[in-house]
Amino acid sequence: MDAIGEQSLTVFSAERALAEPDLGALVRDYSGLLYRVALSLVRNAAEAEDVVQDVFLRVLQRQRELSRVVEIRPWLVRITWNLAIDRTRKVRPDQMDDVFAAGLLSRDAPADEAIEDAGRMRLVLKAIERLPRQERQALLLSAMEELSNAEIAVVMDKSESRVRSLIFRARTRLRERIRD
Amino acid sequence: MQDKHDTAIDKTLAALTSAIPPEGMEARIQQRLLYRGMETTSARLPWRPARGWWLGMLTGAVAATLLCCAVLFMLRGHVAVKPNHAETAAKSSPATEFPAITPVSASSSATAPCARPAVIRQLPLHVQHTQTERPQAHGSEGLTPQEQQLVRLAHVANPQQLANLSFEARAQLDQQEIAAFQKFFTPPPPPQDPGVNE
Repeated sequence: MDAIGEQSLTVFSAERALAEPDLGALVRDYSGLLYRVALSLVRNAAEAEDVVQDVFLRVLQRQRELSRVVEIRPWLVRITWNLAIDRTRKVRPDQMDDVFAAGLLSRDAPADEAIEDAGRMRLVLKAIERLPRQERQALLLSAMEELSNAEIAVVMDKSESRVRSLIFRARTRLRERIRD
Repeated sequence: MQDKHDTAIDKTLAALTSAIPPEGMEARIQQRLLYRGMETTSARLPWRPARGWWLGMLTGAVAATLLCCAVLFMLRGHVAVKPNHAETAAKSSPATEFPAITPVSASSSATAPCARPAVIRQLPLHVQHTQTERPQAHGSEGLTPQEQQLVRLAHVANPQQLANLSFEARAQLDQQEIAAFQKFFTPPPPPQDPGVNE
């Protein structure tokens, strides 16, 4: 599924074939976004960095096809997502929730408020973990400011309206689970 | 209450969004890509030996060793058989001795120069004479002429001559010879009557 999905994003483009993108520029432009995408799934900084490195190694392997990729950002995000999913099978995210939630806390907040926030974040993270696969993907990708709904739709191979629906259902389900 | 939950969700998602990559991540990725790129390039070079080159060399070395062992084993078998022959020969003829052969240099040799002057193998002079006479004396010492003739006949192994050696055959042959000899002589005439002459 992964390889086929990645292939569907590589469409021949004569215009882009003239200017092959530089791999170094790709790393500079997209490593931050890909790191956050990976981190939202694996919830560990070192694992997320490994995932990003693996993504660019994949890109290196298919460097000759880079010029045929029409939408580079959704293509990279999809590779990252698939690799991060593979990585979560080896490292269980629920074991890292505490450390991850503590790392996400704002350091400017007072101690008591920070502790309360950490507890809530832990709950939210566990609830996100239990969401259906597509809803979770739509919700987490929508949290990335760089990605528009149209790009998320390309990544998920769904229509834009379907993505919006998935995001809405995910938030509703998440709210209910936190309340329970 | 619902707003509080929404706030928690938004905070968590915002925290995910605002996560900062570790320092030097880009450099590490670039370095790894560079290393992998060099590795891939060197793997595509035509002169690069295959990864299993050492396996081929090891196999060849093992095969050569086995071959050498087999050849040495065969040679050892031949060498081991030869002393047995020598021992049996020595037992059958105790007078025969095989003196040690000592290598001597060509300069100290009294013989004519040879093609390989570095080292020649030479026997002592008394041994050389003994060896030249040995074929005549071998196996015939202390025999009478008749016995020597018998031995010679046995060596020749002519069946007719061997058959003549038996007493019966010899007697039969003598009778045949006497009969043949008697054929040359006519039987003596009967004695004449004395009265007729007168």
